[in-house]
Amino acid sequence: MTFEMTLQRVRTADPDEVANPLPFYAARDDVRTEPGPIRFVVIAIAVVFLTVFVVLPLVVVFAQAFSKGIGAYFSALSDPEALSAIRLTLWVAAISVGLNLVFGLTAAWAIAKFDFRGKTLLISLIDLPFSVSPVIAGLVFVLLFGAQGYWGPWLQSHNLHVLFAVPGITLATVFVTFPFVARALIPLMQEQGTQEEEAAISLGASGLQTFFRVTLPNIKWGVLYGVLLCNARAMGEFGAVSVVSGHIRGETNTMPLQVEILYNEYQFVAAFAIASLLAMLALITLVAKTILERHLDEGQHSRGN
Amino acid sequence: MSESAGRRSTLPGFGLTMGLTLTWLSIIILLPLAGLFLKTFELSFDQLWAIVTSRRTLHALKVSFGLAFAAASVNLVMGTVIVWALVRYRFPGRRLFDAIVDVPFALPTAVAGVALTSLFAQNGWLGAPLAELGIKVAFTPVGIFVAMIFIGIPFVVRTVQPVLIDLDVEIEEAAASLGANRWHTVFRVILPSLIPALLTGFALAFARAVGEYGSVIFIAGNLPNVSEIAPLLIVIRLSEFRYADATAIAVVMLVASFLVIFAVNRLQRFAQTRIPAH
Amino acid sequence: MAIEVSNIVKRFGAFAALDGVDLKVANGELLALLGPSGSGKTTLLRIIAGLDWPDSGEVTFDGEDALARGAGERGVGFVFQHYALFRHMTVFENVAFGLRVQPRAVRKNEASIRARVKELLDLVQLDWLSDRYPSQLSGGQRQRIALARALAIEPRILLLDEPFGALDAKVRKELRQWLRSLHSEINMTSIFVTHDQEEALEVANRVVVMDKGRIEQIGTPGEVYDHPATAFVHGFIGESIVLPVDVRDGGVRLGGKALDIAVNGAAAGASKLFVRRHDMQVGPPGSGALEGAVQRVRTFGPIQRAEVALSADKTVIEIDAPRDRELRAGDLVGLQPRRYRIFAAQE
Repeated sequence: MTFEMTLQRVRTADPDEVANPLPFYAARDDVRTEPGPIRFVVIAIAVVFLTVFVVLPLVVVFAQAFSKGIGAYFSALSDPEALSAIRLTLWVAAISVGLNLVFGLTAAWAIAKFDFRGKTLLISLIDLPFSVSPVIAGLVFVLLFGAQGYWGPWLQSHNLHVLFAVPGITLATVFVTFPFVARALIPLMQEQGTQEEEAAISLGASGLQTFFRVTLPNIKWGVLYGVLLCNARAMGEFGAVSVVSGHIRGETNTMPLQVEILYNEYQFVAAFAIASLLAMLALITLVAKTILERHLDEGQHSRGN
Repeated sequence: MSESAGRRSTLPGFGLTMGLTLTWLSIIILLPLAGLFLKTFELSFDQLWAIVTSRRTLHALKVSFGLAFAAASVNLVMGTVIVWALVRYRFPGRRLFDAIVDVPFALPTAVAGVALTSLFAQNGWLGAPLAELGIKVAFTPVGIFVAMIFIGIPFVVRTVQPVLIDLDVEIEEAAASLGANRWHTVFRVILPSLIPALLTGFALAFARAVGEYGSVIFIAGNLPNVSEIAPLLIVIRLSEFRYADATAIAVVMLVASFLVIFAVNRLQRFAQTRIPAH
Repeated sequence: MAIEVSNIVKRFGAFAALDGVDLKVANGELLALLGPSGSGKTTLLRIIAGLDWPDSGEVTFDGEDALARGAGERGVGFVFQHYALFRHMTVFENVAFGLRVQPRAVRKNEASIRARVKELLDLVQLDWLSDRYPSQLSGGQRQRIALARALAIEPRILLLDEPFGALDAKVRKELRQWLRSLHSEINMTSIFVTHDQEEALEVANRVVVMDKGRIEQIGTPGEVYDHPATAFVHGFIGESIVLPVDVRDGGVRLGGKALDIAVNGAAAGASKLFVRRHDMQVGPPGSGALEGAVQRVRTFGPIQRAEVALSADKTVIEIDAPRDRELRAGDLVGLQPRRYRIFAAQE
């Protein structure tokens, strides 16, 4: 018996495809758009606004960082306090990302693959750190662990330091980066459904086998995306960490806090040098984010079903 | 006879993952939240009222909420202009500008803070020409306003963008064929259908601006009763060990923010019933 | 392997997906679960597979309690409606999956796995696609790979959930025949779910007709078609003419007038008369129990389909008649039901 064979083309959406795009020089009387001069003005306003508010600040960071030359830049970065701030930032970010990655995976599995009541409430709770001011995020930990907090005296009597020490900083960072991985994974896994996992189970795979062989490869771009955003926030967090840190130089300063200290002491080159590292991190994050978004979109369009 | 029939799921691991999720959630979120609530209820209503209505606190709240509202409004208008240009037009560098819209979102707040201050200080690249015009930005409420605009840029743009992209061309063609000029089409047909998304973006920008700390405290003067934002006041109270005061202000901020967002959501739903989304 | 399902009940909230279902499946038979959406057929299939669990009832495989085990342990091969192929694995890896996840003690070595996969791909005639990804295959190909994957673990039964539902008509027909011949080749107990009665009647050894969570009738395709047990079955399978009639005093009345047909043991009261379109004998006026005027005639190959307005109550029915005597619009005809059933109107 023979059958017709047709190959199905994989369609990828071009993320640059926009609705009704028109170059600013297109015909004036086209009913689908505004007259040329208006288009020009609108574009000009948008460009000027973005340049003033976004491009210039970015440029200023690097201009100030290198304003005394490359030598000064690198010596600022190799300052022991700067290095310790960088180390602390990396350390805290690694812990936060690690913990929230595991959490994100388990939460996304529970929420996306099963039905239960209170799902909306759970998701709202997970989203909570997003809507809370960073200072309030720090505040809640001070209320628990501060000298006059609920557990403050107990901690002091046991000579345990949470606030004004690395554990406090880590906790605050974990709090503010809590939702990132879960938020990236939950809609993705919900969209992918449970069919492949059910197929795997029916073929005899165990839960872990199903997760590692079937689910994980399908969500890998989502995982990377969530980790990327989680990391960016963890490294850049200022408000919450500022409240719990105590600003002890060389010990409890993350990079953003170090920037603040240096800036307040008018050590502009040093401050902007560290700021430039953070700015570069932000730019790299944006580039990686765009690439990952492309992969995520592709996955949406070439469903294997 | 199978007694185990009934509440079983096909996929394994629900118990484990749910348990882990709830445990972690409790430790990181619920516990701290409980601390906040406990502290709040330690105060009597009169005490709360006294703290909140003290001159300095009121001023800080006014500064934070008032300027956040103004900044979000600016972002509403500018965001519309930006998203329109990015989605409907083509111009050199469009992709680049589309990408940099996310910068305020990705840039660490402290970096944004020092950068904006440097830019708008009296001797800054933008501060200097503005000073010639007699406009002082850094270390005044205007500076706060500027910083809040900065951090709110992505919210309106990114919320409206997908809606504008998905808008049906045929609607505009229908309007044109019915005799509407371009002005009418834009302001009576297209923009109204964007209202829900615009309101959402506004609410998000507003909420973010109210609670913003890092981007603002460098460029703000931080003078009590003049240019002091509410989050800074919370930090100051904490450093003075006046936990109750700090908590009171925080609670007011939270409640007020939620109220605003709630109001915007209702407005949005109302708008959606009048102007169905595409 | 023989399957026995006893008194299965499954509710979703207030909705009864399955309301006391009993079924016996003989070893090696190809069984169709046929019914409209919401009839519970997919739910029943998934319960047999272990992908869903009943609120009460029993399921046994060759006498053993199947509900005591999960889906992976029942030795069931399940083919999903939308294939559920692993999108990031090649065709080969998809088919090999079940063999690769077996516990180390039972697992075959790599060479045996490879050989078995090749064997199965040959069976479904898609060996040449083994390095492709699911997104590169057509719907029909994906379905056959899904089948090969399910067969790889040497299941005791094969369960297929609307296997051809997502395919277009021509491919569906071809795959139907292919499934039938495959079944004769491997002779595995198989159950498939479909809402397409033509499919069920063409492919299956026996058909289980379901509606609203209950089994209406179980029988061979012939039995279900020629001897429908309930009004639902009669109406669902094949095209039927349904006329509201009244059974009274040992006679049948339509629109107030008596019909000259036997009651055949139907209960008294408001009822429905079911006749197949092609079971209406057409003759000159007066030659049958019913009379009517032809409104419109269309020809389909060997038959002519006529719309006839009955004189009894003015309803318009469609009948199929052979083309030996041509009908024209306006003709008056007598219609005699050769074969018919009368069911109480409640059913």
